[in-house]
Amino acid sequence: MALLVEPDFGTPKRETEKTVTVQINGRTITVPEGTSVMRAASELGQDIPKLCATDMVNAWGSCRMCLVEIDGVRGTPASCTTPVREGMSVRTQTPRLEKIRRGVMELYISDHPLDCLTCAANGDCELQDTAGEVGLRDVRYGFQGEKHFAEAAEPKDESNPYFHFDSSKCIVCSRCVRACEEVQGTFALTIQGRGFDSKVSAGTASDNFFGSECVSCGACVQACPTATLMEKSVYDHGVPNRSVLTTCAYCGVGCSFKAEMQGDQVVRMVPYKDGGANEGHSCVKGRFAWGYATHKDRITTPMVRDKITDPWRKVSWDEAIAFAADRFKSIQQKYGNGSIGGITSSRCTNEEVFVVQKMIRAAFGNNNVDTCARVCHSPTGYGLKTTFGTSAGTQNFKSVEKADVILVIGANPTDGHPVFASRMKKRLRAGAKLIVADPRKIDLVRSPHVSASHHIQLRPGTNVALMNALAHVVVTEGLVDEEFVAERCEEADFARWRAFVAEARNAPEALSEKIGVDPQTIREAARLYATGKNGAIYYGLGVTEHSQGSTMVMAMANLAMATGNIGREGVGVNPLRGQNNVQGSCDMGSFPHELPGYRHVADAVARGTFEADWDVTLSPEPGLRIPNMFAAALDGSFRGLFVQGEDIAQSDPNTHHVTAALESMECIVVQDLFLNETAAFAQVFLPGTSFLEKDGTFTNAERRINRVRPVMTEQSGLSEWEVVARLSRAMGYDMHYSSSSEIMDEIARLTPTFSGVSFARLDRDGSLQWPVNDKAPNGTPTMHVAGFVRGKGRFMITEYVPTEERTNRSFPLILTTGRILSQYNVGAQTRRTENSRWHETDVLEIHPFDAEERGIADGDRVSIQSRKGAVSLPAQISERMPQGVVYTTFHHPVSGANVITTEFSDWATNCPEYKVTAVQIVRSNQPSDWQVAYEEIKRTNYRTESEPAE
Amino acid sequence: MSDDIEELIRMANQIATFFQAYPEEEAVNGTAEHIRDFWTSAMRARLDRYVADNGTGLHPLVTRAMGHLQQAA
Ligand code: SF4
Ligand code: SF4
Ligand code: SF4
Ligand code: FES
Repeated sequence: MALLVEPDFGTPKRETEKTVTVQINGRTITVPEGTSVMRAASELGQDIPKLCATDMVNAWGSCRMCLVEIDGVRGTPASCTTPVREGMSVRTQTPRLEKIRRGVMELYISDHPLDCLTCAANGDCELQDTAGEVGLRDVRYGFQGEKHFAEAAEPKDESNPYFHFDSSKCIVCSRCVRACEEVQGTFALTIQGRGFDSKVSAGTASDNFFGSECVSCGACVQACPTATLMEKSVYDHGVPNRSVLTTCAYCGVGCSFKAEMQGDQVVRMVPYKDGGANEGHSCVKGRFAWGYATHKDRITTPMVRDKITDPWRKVSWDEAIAFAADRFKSIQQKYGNGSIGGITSSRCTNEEVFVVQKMIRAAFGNNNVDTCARVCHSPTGYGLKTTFGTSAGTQNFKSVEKADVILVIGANPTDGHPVFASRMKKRLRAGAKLIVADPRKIDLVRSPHVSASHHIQLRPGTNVALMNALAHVVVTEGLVDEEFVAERCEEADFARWRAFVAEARNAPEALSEKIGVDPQTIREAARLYATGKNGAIYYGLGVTEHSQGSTMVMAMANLAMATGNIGREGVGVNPLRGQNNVQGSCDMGSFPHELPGYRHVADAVARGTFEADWDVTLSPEPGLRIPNMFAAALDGSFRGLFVQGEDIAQSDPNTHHVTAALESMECIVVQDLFLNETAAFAQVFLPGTSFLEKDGTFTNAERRINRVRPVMTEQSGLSEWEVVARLSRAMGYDMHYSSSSEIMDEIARLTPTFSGVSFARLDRDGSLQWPVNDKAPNGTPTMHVAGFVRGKGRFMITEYVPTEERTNRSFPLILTTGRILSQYNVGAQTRRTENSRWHETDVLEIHPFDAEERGIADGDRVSIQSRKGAVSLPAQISERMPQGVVYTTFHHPVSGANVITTEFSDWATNCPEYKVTAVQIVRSNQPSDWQVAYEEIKRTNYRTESEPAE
Repeated sequence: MSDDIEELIRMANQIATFFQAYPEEEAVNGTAEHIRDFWTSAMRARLDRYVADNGTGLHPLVTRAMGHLQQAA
């Protein structure tokens, strides 16, 4: 596709049913009330010249370029700030207007450097375009403005790794300032000074962009009409000349992007305005951190070795596939059919995941397939399916615009799901109320123009107690939506639940000591959620990664049903998914007990459909989950594993246990971009493809199926699905596809919720939210509207059961884990980009009191010891943590956060309890034993033959 | 007692602890169905053997649930 230039209507779209009809240059148009004259003209195809207006932010009316004449109105009002009125008659082009515009332009140009030919924005500059539009021919004021003299100009601010700020090009239109405020919600920029002296500044005068509050989302760069704020990649390569629409491969928000290219080189990624998930916004990861895709560490040739301490040997695809298949087959001959299995990845496309689970079920002949969602959102699937009937969130992201009370539990959206956080903050600035339940004082609790009504700073591990206490208030204070419950929910289950939560032991007063929050706060929060009209729950891994993760998901579903907060816009129970395709990988049948579309393997009818389509007999027995695979590896019954794009050695709990299990296996095949931590234990490495090479679909947290389109050919020469199909054939099951679109056709054929999905439909409609079928041909933005998917909603009894992981004198603190904005998960991608400059190492956050008690100063290296192991990290003293709780991230493998996490897990799904580990912290100036051993493995298990032996 | 049986006991007991909030028959069924739907046959067989051996440390609902599953088989 040629370069896709999206229309800029100048001011945002108004969303109201009421319309107004006006005449512009003699032509009639009807638009929503509140629309600007500028936008109405633009929608008619009669753009008005503008500089300070752009449709991503509200009008400001400073440049005076967009003046118009309106019948019966004196003077020449600015069209961007003038709303249409019924019957208005507007002229956008007259001799008087032409003259004024030219005059304004002259003023701008008199103080603008005239180096257009060598300017980075040449060909992509609105100032240049507008000068052309208004017919600027002469500048009567001369070119004496101070910005014309290089010596007078301030030096460029190059501190941000991805964009520069060249104030000499700035026309002080304030688009950047408004983008930072209105779109991103960070308020990092201000205009300082007045008149000709005014200029844009990131924070205080001494700040540069890097040192400021800026989170590098790129909104200001997008908004800037000149070369002032400009991507460094455009400076380096020139303006792009073609676009490919695709989807970010980082988090579960699933933002749509235009990959702007020159040849097969990505020049920049620009968020796409029509993207359903992001509506034109982005975060630092998707916008800028894509350089890993062509990083020198990428492995693009298949490799094999006999033993994990041998150097890797580069081989052909045929040899690598034959090697893997031979080993897998001989393991099965010796140890039985169930002795091998595989793990799918939430970073891969639906099509890639589908073929891996198909290979396991059809070619391996068992159901030993699991996915990395096991360690993040498996409780979401279980909990929401049990209560509502579907393993997915209930809303689209846009729904947040209609929420009145937002309850954020165990999620840190500004870091983990930044673009959704911006949408949420916009709604909060417009007046919605916020309740945050989190042990840590996350940014959302108090940030510019956002302040939580209640921060419930609960003790890690007491989520369910909190939910029961909130429910107690709802039930005992008469806040139940009786009509909703009577009509929509199972009567007997509700009665039982109501009696249970009403018991005195579930009152806030009874539970407050356990939760660590005063009962009044809990009561007020419950009243606010139940009575504030539309109540919406958003949650993350702080809910799921607990021994009661599934119970907690059901407890939230109970609360939403009891208050009638389900089945329309603005409400719901919404998981914020970690990885881009967590939803999709679960949908595609990655669980050992479920075929695609969440149908149990024992369901003979569902299984029969697959058997007929795939021409094979499938096992009706559930297979092994990831933790069961490790246990079976250690007892010798599980010997071979195919790992698609996931780094279990780093991301799964209790590293000692995991590595022992991996070491004990005979054949591990890793399909990935890099030699990751798991690859240290592998015998076969199959190079994978980055999202820039993939052709397929991702499904985000709102069930939105988005296209991922290749912008370059596969670096390794083969698509991942083709590699899997070949391995499958080598294993004896004939799997053939000519394109990934054919795989989607098969998914649609076999999965009722996907029956209306095809690449052609997606290419036409942009994206679709499943279910897409005969009942909902255009998809389903809001679930459970007329009734629950399971029929009636089911209240579940959610008894609070404290975790077995307890603090004591030896391990008196609780460690909880999380993530930060600039890094992503195990960091394999973001660590290979400039994003690392924001987070060079993981740190341990500790409360000042806990630090002082242990003689720890900020920056000291400390040892974190749990019952499982020890690692050492630098300490950061932080008031965000309550006393008794410490916190770290796990973005760097050497931090080894999972060396200390335990084997405890969710009762229903075995999702690990990452969020609660009892630890002791002591000062230490050495790396831990594990960290030393880790460095040794780096030396021994990662060599390739071409490298000189050490 | 080997590690893996301890792991299975813990998992089974956790499941029973969730369902014990329900009336006993429902709790037995809930526990049994959960183990049937999510565990491999090897894991179930291992726990069956343990129940037959002595079953120490198991939540009473687990013992009943396993009996239930055997009858159904
Ligand atoms: S990059 Fe984003 S956060 Fe930074 S100044 Fe620009 S709009 Fe604000
Ligand atoms: S930096 Fe760009 S967007 Fe900001 S005021 Fe200057 S010209 Fe306008
Ligand atoms: S919010 Fe998530 S999907 Fe969107 S750009 Fe950032 S990382 Fe990518
Ligand atoms: S575009 Fe309307 S005043 Fe600047």
